[in-house]
Amino acid sequence: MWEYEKKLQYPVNIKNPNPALAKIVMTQYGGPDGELGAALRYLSQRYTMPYKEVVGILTDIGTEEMAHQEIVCTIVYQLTRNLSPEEIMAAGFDAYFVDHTTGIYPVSAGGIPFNAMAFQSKGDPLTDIFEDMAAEQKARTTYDNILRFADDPDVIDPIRFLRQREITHFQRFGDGLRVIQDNLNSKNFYGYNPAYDVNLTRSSS
Amino acid sequence: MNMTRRELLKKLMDIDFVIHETVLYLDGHPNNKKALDYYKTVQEEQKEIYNQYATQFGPVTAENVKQDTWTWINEPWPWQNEREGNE
Repeated sequence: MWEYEKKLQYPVNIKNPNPALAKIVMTQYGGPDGELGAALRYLSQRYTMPYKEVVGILTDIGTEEMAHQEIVCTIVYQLTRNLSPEEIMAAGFDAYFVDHTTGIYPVSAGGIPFNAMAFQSKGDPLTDIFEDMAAEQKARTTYDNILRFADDPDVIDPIRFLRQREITHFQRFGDGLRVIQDNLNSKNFYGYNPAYDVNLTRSSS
Repeated sequence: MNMTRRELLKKLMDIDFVIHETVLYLDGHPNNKKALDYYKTVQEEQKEIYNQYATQFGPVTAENVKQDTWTWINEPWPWQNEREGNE
């Protein structure tokens, strides 16, 4: 189970509203490579993961992703305060605004609501860990792209922190990949699925 | 009084639930002194049970590993039941 801690993992203090920037940062909450999908991906995959080291990594990174959702939402919230209808229209934030006012709702930069089709939980340790490593890289690229448009240091700073975490998580999932491979038959990593073909795992070890 | 892991875990889950219910009530009734006093009493009890569990059976959160090895990842995880050979 989880317990809420009343603090952000990294501080966010934005002085100037910028709804155009909010629109693209929002994608890291509800978009295809966002933090919501990341948390759901890792926390869903851990049940059938046979190796306790990797269960620990999935649990702890999945939990951190929930903290990252909160940082992204805080950035979007602070970027969309005190806006006039004229400012909303000029920034192209009107389409989001009519549906949600300034409420925080998980959508991609293109306005597509969060979709679980953007991630997998395949029940195969190698497949899942490669999905996770790819996911961290996709999120890193997205943060890189956000940084191309961000010109406010108050936004750039927490976005850089989140970008760095994607790289760190990629490394930690790499540790997980090594643990999985160490537990497989080195002559054929793909001979069986250790999360399903349990009898094969036992007889081959 | 020697309790098995399962017995002590159940005690921990019970006290956590009591605290959680009190928290929900206090959220909507922040000025209720009686509820706040009750919260503080059970909080003390919870601390003791947590400590006992962490020392005897391992951590409940990654921040309270008391052993000399990284016991945080040790099985059973909460979703692994008796069928998988866990007591």
